[in-house]
Amino acid sequence: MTQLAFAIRDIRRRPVVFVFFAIQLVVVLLFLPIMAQSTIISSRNIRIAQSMADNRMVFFSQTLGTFFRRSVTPDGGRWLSSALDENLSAYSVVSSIKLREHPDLAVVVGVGSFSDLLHIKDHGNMPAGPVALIGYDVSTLRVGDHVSFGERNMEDILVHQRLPRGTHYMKRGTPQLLDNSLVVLTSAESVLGFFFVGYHHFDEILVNASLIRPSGADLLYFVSGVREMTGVALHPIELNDYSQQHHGGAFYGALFFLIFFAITSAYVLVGIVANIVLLLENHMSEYAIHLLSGACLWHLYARVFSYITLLVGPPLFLASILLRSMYQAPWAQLFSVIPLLGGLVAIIAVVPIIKLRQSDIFLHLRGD
Amino acid sequence: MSLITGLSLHKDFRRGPSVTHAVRGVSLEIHRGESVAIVGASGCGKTTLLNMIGLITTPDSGELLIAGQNAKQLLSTQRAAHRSKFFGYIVQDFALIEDYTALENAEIPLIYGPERLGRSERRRRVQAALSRVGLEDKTHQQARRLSGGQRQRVAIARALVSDPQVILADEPTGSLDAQAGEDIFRFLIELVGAGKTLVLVTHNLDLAERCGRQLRMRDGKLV
Repeated sequence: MTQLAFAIRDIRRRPVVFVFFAIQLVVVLLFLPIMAQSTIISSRNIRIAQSMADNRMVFFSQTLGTFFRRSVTPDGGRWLSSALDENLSAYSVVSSIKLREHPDLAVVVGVGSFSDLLHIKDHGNMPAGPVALIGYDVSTLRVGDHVSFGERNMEDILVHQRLPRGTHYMKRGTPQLLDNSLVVLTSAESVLGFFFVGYHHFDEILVNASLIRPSGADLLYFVSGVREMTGVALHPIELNDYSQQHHGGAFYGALFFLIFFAITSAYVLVGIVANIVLLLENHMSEYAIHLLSGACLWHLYARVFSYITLLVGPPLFLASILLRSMYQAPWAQLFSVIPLLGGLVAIIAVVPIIKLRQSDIFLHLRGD
Repeated sequence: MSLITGLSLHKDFRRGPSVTHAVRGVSLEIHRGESVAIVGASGCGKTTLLNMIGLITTPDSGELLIAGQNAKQLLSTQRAAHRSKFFGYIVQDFALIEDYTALENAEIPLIYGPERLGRSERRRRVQAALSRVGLEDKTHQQARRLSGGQRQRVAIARALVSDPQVILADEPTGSLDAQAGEDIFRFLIELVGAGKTLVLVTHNLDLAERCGRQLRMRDGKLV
């Protein structure tokens, strides 16, 4: 505790330098993991998109303005249902629905050919009608349970099987993991029956629609049909092209910033080490007084470790709190921050400790 | 039995290819309650000898017995404990931490002392030591704001605060004017009268002659 008090005193002697490095640490400790995560996610997105390349999927963007003038009428809803369920190889999802009994569980209602994307085992043995699947990490439900689904018409749906880890689908060009989701496979038409506001969910079905290996005629049929029935002008986007441009661009952008922040982190670490070595050199005569008065070298080491911990700890915990609150980064939990703090302190302390060990500290007692 | 015994002490300092033989085969005995002055020209090894006695520097060869205990056999923590409790050090340049108060400077040996005193007891003892050197009204004054004589008194208070048996003083009056130097020296001699042992390194032959015994050094040897 005494050495901690001395370390706090060291900080109070040069508070500006301390705050300067602490701010730099917050920046690099915040952005380095963000960029690392962005690089990993965009790389995963590219890999997933490549694995789906054979489906030559097409999704749609809306022409600005027309979507806000949309109106999915009963006729429009029926047309969209038949297009997705029967006339085209297509799928869409509704992800805004919550279950009353499991309000925290993400629900993805897949319509049309959605099940084709999931590589489900014994596809042929699936029961007729709506069926539920649970993601790999869902713990609140088990296979064989039933979930109450719907508002206007409630139906108990069987949880038929658990999806393999990492099962995903494409929503408007971006892979979505289903590990923590409940998937309800049904038809677009049945969504009308389940909910009072079925047409509202059709807005979502419309914007999330994707066609699988469409021909030119399929595209024309869907785009012109949607325009006619709802007034929404859709622009088809090929997933394979989009993935190369969007995910590829995101990957290289994230990689660039990852390298930039890695280099910046190295500079910050070198700066901190140099600053601490300078601090030691300035305090050598003080350390000599402590040694003369009965301190051991390990007291001085404890003082250096305390200083570094006070320098690195608050920025690390602040970065962890920000990462958890802003990005829901599960790896930024407190228990994982503590070993990281220990590691960082140890890395920074190496050179200062060697410096202390190799110095003849008592020489600094003499003014001459 | 002597309090400190040195037998054929040697110490060399190496810097690259050159070797300085600082202390060469010095043997000495210092008894409890005596005052010993070590005198000699600059660079003759006086301070190195004092530092060896005070467990600051380790001899390359020879035996050093502190109160009958062989210094070679002391662990680093025991050496540190001796520096805190057995010896009190006073150096020419005071060796004070400039932004610490007189009280904080004098408190340091008690922080590391084997007694593990609480803060209030430490402060009480430091107040007493500062009063003893006439600085009771300067306890909360930063060291940098004190005069040379006052700074050396703080250094003496620090040396005395853990009630050591031996005072090791390296040119304690070297940075002071004549009057302040005289005051400090008289105070050190009073300590010997009170039972402390004083080992004084000095250039000043007048001061050395006022000590009980003089040891003269030349080229690392006692002559």
